Amino acid sequence: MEAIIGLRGRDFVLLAGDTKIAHSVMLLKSDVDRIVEIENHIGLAYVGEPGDDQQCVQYLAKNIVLHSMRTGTPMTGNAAAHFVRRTLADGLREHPYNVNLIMGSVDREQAGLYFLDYTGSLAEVKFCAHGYGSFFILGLLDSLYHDDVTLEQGIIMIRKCLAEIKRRLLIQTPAFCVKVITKDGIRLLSPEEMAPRVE
Amino acid sequence: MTSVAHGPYEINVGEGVAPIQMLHGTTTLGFVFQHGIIIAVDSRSTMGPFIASQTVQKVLEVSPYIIATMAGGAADCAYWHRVLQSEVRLYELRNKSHMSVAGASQIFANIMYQYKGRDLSVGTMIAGCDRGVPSLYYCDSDGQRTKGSVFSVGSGSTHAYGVLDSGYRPDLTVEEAIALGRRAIFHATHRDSYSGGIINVYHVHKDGWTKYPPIDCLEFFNFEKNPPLPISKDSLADLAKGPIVPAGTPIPSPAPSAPAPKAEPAPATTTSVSVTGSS
Repeated sequence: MEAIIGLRGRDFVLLAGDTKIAHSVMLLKSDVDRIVEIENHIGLAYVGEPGDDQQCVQYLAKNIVLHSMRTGTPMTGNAAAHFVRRTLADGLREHPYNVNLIMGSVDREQAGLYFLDYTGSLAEVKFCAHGYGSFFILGLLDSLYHDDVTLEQGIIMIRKCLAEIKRRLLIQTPAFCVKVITKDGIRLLSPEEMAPRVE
Repeated sequence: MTSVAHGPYEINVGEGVAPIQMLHGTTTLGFVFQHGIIIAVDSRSTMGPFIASQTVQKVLEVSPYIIATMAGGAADCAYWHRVLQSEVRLYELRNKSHMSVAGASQIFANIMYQYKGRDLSVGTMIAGCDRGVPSLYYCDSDGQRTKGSVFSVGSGSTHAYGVLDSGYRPDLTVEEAIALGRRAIFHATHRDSYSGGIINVYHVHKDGWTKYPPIDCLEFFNFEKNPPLPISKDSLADLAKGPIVPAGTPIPSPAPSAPAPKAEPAPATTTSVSVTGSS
């Protein structure tokens, strides 16, 4: 099953997402990027029902950009998270988007990580995960995380999480895509940066 | 719910599931390679256990530059692709330029998403070239739309994937690619009872698309003429090396009016004929 993970430091956010699209027992695609980059300071990771997910995230991303075009001011991560929450909540009774999201942002050198689900709940968190993978890694992150986590430590934590998912989750995930958001923007971490190093 | 089972297919009275769904079983495939995209499809249409037709055109010609495959409900596919066809043509008339495949597939996906949950059944691949670069999209009635290089859709798709994935390389020649597409569809029709009939192949390239002559599936089912391919120790990619029907041999076509290849006809080479040879 799909899994997305988010982890926040003081001035960075790490987002990880798996890279596959499955159709019942069949793997349709294995190089999907499910972390959308919005205006170079917001990352939006999504998992959900096929069709709903892309349609929802496309709508959200374009409207956040539209807002800054209209006002000349980019939406802050916090504002964007509330906009996303409101959109999901508004549609809930009529045409629900069955999509779970993790939003990460860095603005004014302040990192924010937001956990959103399809019912329109929103929580500002230090780390979080959606999907079956979360059962294996939330405990792990509880034991590893501290408030002064550096980017390098954060990457190691994410790596440990991905290793645990690969070790314990029955449904295997071939690869993960990991992105980091800092005040300089959003960057995809290379396989070398994510590769296990001798510690 | 009153449901009366009459012979080959079910007729529902009153509320219930859509009773007749033609063309639920299908095998279609498409893949991107160095010279463009190959699209190959079977031609069987079924209504439950009943074979309604063996001569269905499952490749829909959206424009001279874009083609689409159909799997799922025949009416849904045919109708919505006709809508897409008109959208693409209107775009051309309004803008004096071709619509991109990305654009066309997005329009289609948006339509599908609008009707999500209302029992449409569509699985389609939309193929064409954007400024000379081949692009292949998969869209379905969930509203899903995704770009990729190898897709197979329909009840026989699992069988087709098996052959296709092991023979696929991006650097196939046109001839090899067509042979691989036909072979994959043939094996799917052999194992999937909802797939069969004839095999249609299209090659999508920068100048549009080229239709290749259809071949009856049963032509392939002749191990004397078309023995299984030898597999070398090095590479399973050998599956793609030889066409099942030696290239250049005249292909018996059930439809004599089928247009001959407009461009890039398969050159009659003597090298690729020796499929049987234990090299």
